Amino acid sequence: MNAGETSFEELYARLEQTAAKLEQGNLTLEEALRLYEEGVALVAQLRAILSKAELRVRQLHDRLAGDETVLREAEFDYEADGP
Amino acid sequence: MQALPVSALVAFVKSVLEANDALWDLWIVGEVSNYSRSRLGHRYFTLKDENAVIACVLFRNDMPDAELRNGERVFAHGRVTVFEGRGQLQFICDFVRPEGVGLEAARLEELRRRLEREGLFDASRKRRPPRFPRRIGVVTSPTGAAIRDIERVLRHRWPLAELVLAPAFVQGDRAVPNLLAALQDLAGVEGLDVAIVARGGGATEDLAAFNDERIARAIYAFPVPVVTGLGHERDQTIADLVADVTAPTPSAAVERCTPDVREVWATIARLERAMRSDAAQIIARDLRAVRHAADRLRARAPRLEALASAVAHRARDLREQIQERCARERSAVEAAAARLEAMDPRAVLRRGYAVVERVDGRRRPVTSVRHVRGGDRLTVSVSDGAFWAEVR
Repeated sequence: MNAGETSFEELYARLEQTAAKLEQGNLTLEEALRLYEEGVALVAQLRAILSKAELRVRQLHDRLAGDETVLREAEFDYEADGP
Repeated sequence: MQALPVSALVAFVKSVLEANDALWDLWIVGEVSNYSRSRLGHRYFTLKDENAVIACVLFRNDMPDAELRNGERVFAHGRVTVFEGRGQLQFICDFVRPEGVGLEAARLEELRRRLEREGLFDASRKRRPPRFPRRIGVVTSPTGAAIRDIERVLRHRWPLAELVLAPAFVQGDRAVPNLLAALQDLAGVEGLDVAIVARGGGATEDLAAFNDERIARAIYAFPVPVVTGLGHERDQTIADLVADVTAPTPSAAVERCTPDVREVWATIARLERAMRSDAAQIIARDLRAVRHAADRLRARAPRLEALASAVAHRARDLREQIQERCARERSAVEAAAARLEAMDPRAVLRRGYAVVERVDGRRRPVTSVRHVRGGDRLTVSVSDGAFWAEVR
């Protein structure tokens, strides 16, 4: 999911809405067919995202080593004494 | 030299005492004596040891149910002031615990009560992690079992996510500043959906950092929901109480803030099936409607024919009735005409009769001999004309 692409959450929410509208009935044949086609397209998009998914892992700067850690600790002691 | 009023002196001493931070938030230990509860519900007593004594009060709103016993040794948390009316040193308590529970436990309970009163644990402020988190922050040791468990579970369960590790010591002297720094780093990560604070079990139950007020406040102030998975078996830590979601282990923490990808696959398949069957139902509904309309049309067709033949039949009846009526009328007219003809005066004249009328005066038929005298002139009409005659 890169920026600009519609998020999984958004696509999934749209799929749920589409399915709910179809379930509710009260639709003309044209509306029903349009919704169904939309739903099928959403399902395909969601499946594509799920099949490609691979966990990415990133580590923030390690503060456990080096002088910065000590510096930051001092800062935090100071802040912690505040309000 | 000028003399100081007593009240000025006492007020001055009071302000000196209250300005001292060391006397503002402290724990003392001593034995209870002279315990009494006032009508208003305040509890007055003294705390003493071998060498000294201090007057204490526990006001009505602090631990309203607590009762103390004379002779009991207690830890008391509070601040030092002066009771001006008596010029007496006074310790205002807000928390009291028997010495038997230990100072650490008493301190923890006081902190828990205080944060609870402040609303840090309120259920109403617990935030729910998003359904499909995209970026999951983790604060834990980079070398511990917790991060391995989290990564493994996440890889199987919700690989759509990105895991952002903010490394920190989770025990020992540096744990608190480390954890605070890691939380702050993580709070700056753009698009973070949820944060997990984790600690992998281990032999020691060193949870001190997670009972620290600064950590509690950092979790409370964290910009997105925080899930704790601290791998401990005893009572919940302050961090657990303030977190939005609490799980017993790091793996469980992942489960509490992610969907299971297999369930998501299954749900998508179910929604797909449901949509297909719902659409099919609507098509079937319209087909039924068309078929129904066709049936109704067909059902109506024979009735139209019957109606047409009934109309034709009725038309024939009417025509016959009219003809019959006409014939009847015609013969009646003919009979009347015959009768009329019989009454025609000309028919009488044709049989040899004549109509006699006087010519003078008013022309009128002569029906009596008294109507005429000699010399009267008359008209005599017969069947084919008239002629003049004179009476003699």
